[in-house]
Amino acid sequence: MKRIHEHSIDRLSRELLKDYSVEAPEGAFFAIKDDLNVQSKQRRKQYFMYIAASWLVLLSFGLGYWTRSIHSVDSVSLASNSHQQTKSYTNSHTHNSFLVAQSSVSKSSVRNTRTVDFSDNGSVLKEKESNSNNNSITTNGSSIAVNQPTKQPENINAKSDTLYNKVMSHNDSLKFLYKYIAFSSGESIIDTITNTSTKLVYNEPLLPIETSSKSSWSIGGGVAPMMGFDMFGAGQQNLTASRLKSGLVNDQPEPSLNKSITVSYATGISLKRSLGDNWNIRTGMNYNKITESNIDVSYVEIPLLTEYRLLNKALKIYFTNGFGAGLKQMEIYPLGMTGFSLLYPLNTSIDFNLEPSFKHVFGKDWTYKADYYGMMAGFSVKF
Amino acid sequence: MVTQTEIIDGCKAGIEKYQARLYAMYSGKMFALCIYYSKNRSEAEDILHDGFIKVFQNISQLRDYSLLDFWIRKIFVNCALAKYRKQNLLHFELNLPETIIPLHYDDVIDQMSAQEISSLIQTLSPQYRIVFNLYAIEGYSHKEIADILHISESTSKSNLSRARVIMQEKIEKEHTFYRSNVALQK
Repeated sequence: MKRIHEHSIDRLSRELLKDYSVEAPEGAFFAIKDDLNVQSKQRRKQYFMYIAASWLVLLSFGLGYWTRSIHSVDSVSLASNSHQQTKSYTNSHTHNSFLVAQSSVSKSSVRNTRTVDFSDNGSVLKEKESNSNNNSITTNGSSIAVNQPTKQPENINAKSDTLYNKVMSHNDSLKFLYKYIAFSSGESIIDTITNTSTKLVYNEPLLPIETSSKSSWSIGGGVAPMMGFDMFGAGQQNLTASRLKSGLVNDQPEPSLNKSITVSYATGISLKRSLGDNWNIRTGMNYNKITESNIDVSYVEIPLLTEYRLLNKALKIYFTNGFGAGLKQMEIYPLGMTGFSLLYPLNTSIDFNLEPSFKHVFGKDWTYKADYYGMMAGFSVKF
Repeated sequence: MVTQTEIIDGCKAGIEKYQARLYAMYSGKMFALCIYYSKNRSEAEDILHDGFIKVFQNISQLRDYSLLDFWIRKIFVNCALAKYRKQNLLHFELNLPETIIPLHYDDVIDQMSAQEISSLIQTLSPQYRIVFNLYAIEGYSHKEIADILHISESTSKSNLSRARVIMQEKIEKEHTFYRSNVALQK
C-alpha cells in the first residue's frame, strides 16, 4: 500500500481528465449558431449606430463652427478691438454722428463702414460710406431707422448680423449705446438702446474681438509604436501551452518566454476644437495593429478626449484624458485613455506633436484585454 | 479529407459546415472541461454555449494553427472564470493553514474513473474548484493564478491545499465504504 503525497491528487486528476470527453447536449450547435447570427446582427446594428453617432458629433462640431463664423460678430460683448479702432468727431450740438460697421460679418475685419449723422429728433442728416482703404463714398437715401425697437422690417426674411456700438463722451464715459443690425438683403436698422444729448462725441465701432478670429480647430495625424502588457488572454495560453509541451507545470521555471509583452503600432488622425484658453476637446480615428506570435488583431478606435493646458510657452503641454471605443469586427469595446500631449510650433499653423499615453481596454471577458503604453508622434495643422 | 487548416480557414470565413466540424472535434472535450469547472450540468451547458460563441467570433485572431487546441481550451477556461466572476462566486479565504491528510487509497484510486474525479471536483466550492483546476489540470503556477484571480499567492496556495484536503477526505470516505462493502460480502 502506498501513501498518497501532496501532488498525487493533482497528477491523478490531470491524467484522468486529459482526454476526458463527454457527449455534448443535442442541438447545442444549432443554439450556438442561432445565437451567433443574432449577436452578429446586433453587433452590426451597434456598429453602424456608433459610426452614425460619431459622425453626428463631428457634424455638430462642424455646424457649430459654421454657425459661429456666421455670427461671430453677434456678441453682447462691448469689448473693442484696439487694433481696428476707428474714430470720428463732430462739433455739432444737434448732431450725433455714428460710425457703424456694415456687413462686417467676416471673422477678422470690417470691410466697409458707414457714417450716419442725424439730429436729436432722429432724422438722418447725412450718410457716408467708406471702405477699408479709407476711400469714402457718399450714398443716397437711407434705409436706417433711428429710435425704433429692434424689429426686422416687414418683407425681409433674411439673417441679420448685429453689432453693439457705444458712443463715448470726451471723458470716456459711455453716452450712447446703440445696436446696428444689418440684414443680408442689404437693408439695415439702428436700434438705440440709450440716448442722451451730448455735445462732443466720438464713435467707436465695436468690431469682432481678436479671439474670435483665432484658429480654434486643428487636424492632426501621427503614428505610434504601442507596447501592450498582458494583452491577450491567449498570451497566457502560450505560456501554458509551451509549459505543457515541454512538460513543465506549475512552479517549475519557464525557460525562455517573456510574459506576453508585445509590440505593435497605432496610426490615425485627430480633430481638435479649442474650448477657450485652456481646454480642448478632441476626437478622431485610430487604426491599431497588434501582432503576436499566434495572434493578429486589428481594430479601429474612436476616442473622445479633453485636453487641459499645463504649460503655455513655446512648448505647449496638455494633460489629456477621456474615453473611447474600439471597433473590431462589429464588436465595440470601451477604452479609457490618459496621457500628455506636447506641441511644438513649427510655424504659425503647423505644430509637431508628441503624445505619451496610457490606454486600458475594459471588459474582463474580452479575449485581448489590454493595457497599452505608447508614444504617438505626428503633426497638426490649425485652420 | 478536410484538414485542420481548412477547417480553421472555413471558420474564419464564417462557413457553417466548417464550424460544425470544429464543434464536432472539440465539443466532447470542452463539455467535459465545462463540467468539472461548474457545479452542475446546466451550468456546464451555458459555459459550452458561451465558449463556442467566443471561439467562432474570435478565431480570426488565431495565426499559429498548431496552437488551436490550447487556444480553444484557454477560451473555455476564461469563459468559466468569467461566469464565476459575473455571479460573484469567487470569495477567497485568506491564508488557511495548509493541511495534508495522509491517505491510504490504492484500492479506491485504481477504480476511480475520469467521471468520478470530475464529479469529485464538482463537489468543491467554486473558489477551491477554480484554484484546483487552474493549478492541477491547466498547469498554472500560483503566481499566474494570483494574477488571473486577483488574489495573493498565499491565498491561492491555501485554497489549493484546502481543495486537496476536501477531495482526499471524500476519496477516503469512498475507500472506507468500499472496504466495508468488501468485508460485508466476505
